[in-house]
Amino acid sequence: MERLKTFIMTTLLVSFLTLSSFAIRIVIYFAKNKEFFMLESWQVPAVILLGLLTAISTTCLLFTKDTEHVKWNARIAWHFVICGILVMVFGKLFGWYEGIAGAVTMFVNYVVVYALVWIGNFFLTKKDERQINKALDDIRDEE
Amino acid sequence: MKVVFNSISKNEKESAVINAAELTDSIKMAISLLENGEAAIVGYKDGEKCSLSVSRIYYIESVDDKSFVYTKNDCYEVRYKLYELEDTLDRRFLRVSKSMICNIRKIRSVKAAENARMKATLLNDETIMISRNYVKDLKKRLGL
Repeated sequence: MERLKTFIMTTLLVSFLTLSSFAIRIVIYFAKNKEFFMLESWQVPAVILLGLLTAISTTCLLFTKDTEHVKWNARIAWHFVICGILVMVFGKLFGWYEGIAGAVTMFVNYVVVYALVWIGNFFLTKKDERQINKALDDIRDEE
Repeated sequence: MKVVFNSISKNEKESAVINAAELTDSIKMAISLLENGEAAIVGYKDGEKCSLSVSRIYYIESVDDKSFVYTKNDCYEVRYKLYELEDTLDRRFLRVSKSMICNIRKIRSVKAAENARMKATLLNDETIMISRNYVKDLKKRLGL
């Protein structure tokens, strides 16, 4: 159940972030050219498919029960590489970037978003840690 | 077991009678709770039987279908399944992984670990891991 929840949440998060990046690009394009460009209708299913594939990678690599089988850092590295490949391949197939400069920009965006997700996650976990320790202070037996 | 409660006046002496076919470990636990105000479970160390008051327990671990109770410095085997203990023990005890129940009052501190788990350091400096799914239960138990 927990894994299914993670799977759905990751699909939604990746789809949302990718569509958000399109929205930002549309706004930037409008600021430069004073006109909108419209997304093709098949772009939305492509974004959802990317969300599904990254969710499969996330659920299989980061949310498995057997945590000792492959070291955690190696799992993160694999996750980063697989999701990066998925983003770049989808970008190429569906025309989300053009040329080497576009590919580099897309990859940099991916790295920044990936890092932000982990940094956000780190601070949320630290917040949990502080809250739990504070609550434990009130109930702890004497040593 | 059928339980009968008889209300008595304050100046009468309180007493309890248990009618049972044999003195089981569960009954011993109940007797300890009534006599000492605290539950105890029966543990075995080097083949010798001993009564362990629940407040001494740091954590209980299941290894190869056997359950072991860990106190500050000792380890005892108990003849209960982990799920039986989980049902019997009070709210100080919380399942922290598939194979472990921990006395949360014996946790000195927790530290975030990989895979959204928490590493808990106990009052006797031992460390145990709290699985991702059970971190939520710990927060809930602590009212967070």
